Amino acid sequence: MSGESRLYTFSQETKDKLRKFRLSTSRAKDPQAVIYLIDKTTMEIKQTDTEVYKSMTELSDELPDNSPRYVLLSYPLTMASGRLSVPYVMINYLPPTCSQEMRMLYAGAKELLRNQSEVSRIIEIDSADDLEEIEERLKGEE
Amino acid sequence: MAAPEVHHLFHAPISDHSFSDDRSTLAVARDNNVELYHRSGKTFNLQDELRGHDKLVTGVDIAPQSGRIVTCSQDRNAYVWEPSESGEWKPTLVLLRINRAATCVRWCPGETKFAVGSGARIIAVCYFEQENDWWVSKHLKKPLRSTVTSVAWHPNSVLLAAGSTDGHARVFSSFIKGTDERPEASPWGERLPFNTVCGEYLNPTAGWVHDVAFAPSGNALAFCSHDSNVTIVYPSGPEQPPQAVISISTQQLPFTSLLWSSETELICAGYDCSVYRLMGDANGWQITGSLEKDNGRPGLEQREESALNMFRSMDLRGRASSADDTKLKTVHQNSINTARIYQESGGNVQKVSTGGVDGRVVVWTL
Repeated sequence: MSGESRLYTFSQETKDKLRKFRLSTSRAKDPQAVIYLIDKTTMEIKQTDTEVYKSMTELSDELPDNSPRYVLLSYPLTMASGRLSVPYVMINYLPPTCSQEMRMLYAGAKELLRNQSEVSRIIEIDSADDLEEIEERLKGEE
Repeated sequence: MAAPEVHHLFHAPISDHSFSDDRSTLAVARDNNVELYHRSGKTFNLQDELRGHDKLVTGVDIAPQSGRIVTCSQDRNAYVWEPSESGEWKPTLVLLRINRAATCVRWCPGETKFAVGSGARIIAVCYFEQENDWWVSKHLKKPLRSTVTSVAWHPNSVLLAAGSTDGHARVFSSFIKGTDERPEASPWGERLPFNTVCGEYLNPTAGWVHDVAFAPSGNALAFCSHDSNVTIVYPSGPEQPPQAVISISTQQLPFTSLLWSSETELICAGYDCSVYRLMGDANGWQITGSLEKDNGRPGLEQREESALNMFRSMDLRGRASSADDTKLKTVHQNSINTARIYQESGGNVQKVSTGGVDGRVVVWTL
């Protein structure tokens, strides 16, 4: 485990952003998502852009076709029982066309990002279209 | 008609062959490897061997400008071989993500992509992604229903024709955002996202389609099938029935490979072990003859038939004539697998090269 923390780095700014995002989303009324990538040269895990995505279609347009990405998603749900819940999950987006090198890179940092961002669980998807059904998956697993 | 140049390389079938741009290097698929021959004077000598595949190599293509070689094999893989300064070839594995053998491979005219046909009812169109430093393959699936036997590119590097064992020849668009530029409007179609089917043609008897080829202008498509038919399609416009679909049935054995030598002439070769010419246009086509010289194999001599020789041969061979009929009269001694353009200028092809099951590569002058 310590091997990974030596390889991948988090800047202090990213850690603060993660904490702020987690705290702010539990009270939000609509879905909030941010995309994270690993910089190949510096091995740093950071946010791709400063945008917070509110809709799943916008998010799926932003995801690249052939590279993996991490998405931190907070999705307010009304359960069948009437209960209100806002699960905070990490999505590991791994398209089948990406290279082995990229797969290993993102697999190694998965647990590190999970611990740093304190999400409840990780969901694996392999195509941007799977984001449309994310609501059902979240509801089903609660 | 000048005599054909015969290169008898070895005694094994050649499933595919390709010449480099200056025609000084010949890549030949032999079993699990690809052999590179270099021309010195009138002959080709073995220079290098590309080892990497585990099963029979079914397709080889050399890109004219960059000199890269792409090979595909029954082991479901394709390799791109890059020449290095030291003369060594560096292979890069391309993950095609197919679960059956690859049958054919061709570079597009722009050399940024190549298409691999396979037995998995999929055509894998592969392009190099700069940011990941990796060849990515995108699949053309619908509506292929059986093995893809051959692929051919349109001059605009976006339209791709494929012949398949389900009896159809189809034209697909393989437009990749970021690698291709928007093609100009053509009779095949205008706005063409990836996997659009621009045309689907069935030959009259639904026989397996062996080879497809676009005309040099791209405005016609020819395909040959296992029922000895050659069909030529002239499209009129997108979503409209074609201007003309001409199907000629020949009395020869089926053709396995064809190419356009000009807008009005086709060169076909196949199981008959020889090369034929067809001429025509949108009004009609006919077969005009073979490229073989009339007396067949050069060097076939006539022996004097005296009574003594006749009885001697009956004793030795069990038949009256002493004519050597253990060899075919054609130059190739077994069926021809591939025919490729060898020399062309101004839109007309002057020389054609063929490779066959007998291990010969022959260059014909038209």
